[in-house]
Amino acid sequence: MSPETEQEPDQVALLARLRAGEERAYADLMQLAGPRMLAVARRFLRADQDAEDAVQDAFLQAFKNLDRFEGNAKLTTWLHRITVNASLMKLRKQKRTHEVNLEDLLPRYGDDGHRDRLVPEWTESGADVVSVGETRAAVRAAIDRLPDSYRNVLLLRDIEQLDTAETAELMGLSINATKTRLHRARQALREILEPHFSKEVSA
Amino acid sequence: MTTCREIHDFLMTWLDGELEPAVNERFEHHIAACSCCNNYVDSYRKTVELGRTAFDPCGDAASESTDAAEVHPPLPDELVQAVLAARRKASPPGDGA
Repeated sequence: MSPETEQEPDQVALLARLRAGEERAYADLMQLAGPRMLAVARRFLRADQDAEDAVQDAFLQAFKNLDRFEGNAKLTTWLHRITVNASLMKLRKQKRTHEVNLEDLLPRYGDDGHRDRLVPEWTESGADVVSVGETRAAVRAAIDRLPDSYRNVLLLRDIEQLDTAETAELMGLSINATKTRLHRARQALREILEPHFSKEVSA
Repeated sequence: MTTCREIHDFLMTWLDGELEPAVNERFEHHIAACSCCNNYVDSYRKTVELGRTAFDPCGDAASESTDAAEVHPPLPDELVQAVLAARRKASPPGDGA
C-alpha cells in the first residue's frame, strides 16, 4: 500500500498537481494550509509582519523541497513543522529588550522543603468569573511573560503538540533538558496565573 | 520523607508515569495527605489545559468546528502574491525543473 493512502484525498490530488508543476496548485496550497500556518507563526512572533515573513519563508522552503516530502505524514502536518521552524529561525534573529529571570517566576520554598505559603485551591478555569475569551487572553498574556527559551518549549509541546524528541531537536536541547524546561515553564505559568484563578481572590 | 518541593519538582515525571514504582507510591501517599500539594497538582493540570486552549479561536461556533482552517481568516492577498512572485523568481517556468 502506498503511504499516501493515509493522506486526505484532496491533499493527495493537490500534491500530484504540485509535483507536476501546475501553477494554480501553489495558490491552492496556500489557500488550504496558509491560514493555519499564519496562526502558528503569530504564536511565536509578536509582530504581524514577522509572522507573515515566516509564512513566506515556510512556503518557499516547502515549494523548493516538495520532492523531499515523503508522503508518510499529511501535507498540512509537514507544512506545520516547516512553519514552526521558520518562526523559530526568525525569532532567534530578534533580541527581546527586557526578559524576566525565570527563577523570579518559580515557586519558593523554606529550608524544610515546604512552600513559603499555602497553595490555594483554583476555581474551574475561572469560567464563572470572566468569559472564555477573556480567560484565554489572560493566559496568552501570561505565556508571553515567560522568557523565550521556556515560552518556546511550552508552545512547541503544549500548544503545537510536538513530541519531546521533535521539540528537543528544534531547540537544540537534550531530551532531559527539554523536559525540565517544559516543567519549569508550566510551573512559572502556574504562578503567574494563580492570582486570576485562586478561590481566595476570586470569591 | 518526601517534601512538597520534591513533589513539585518531579510532578511532570509523575504525571507522565515515569517515576520508579517505590517513589511513585511515596508520591501518591504524600499528595493524598497534603492539601497544599493536592492544590498544586490540580492547579498544575489546569495550567496545562489553559495553555492548550489559550490560542483556540474564540466563540462557540469556533470551538464546535473541528477544522482549524475554517476558523482562521484567509491569508492576506498581498502575502499570497508575494510568495507566488518569489517562487516564480526562484524557479522560472521552463528552467528544466
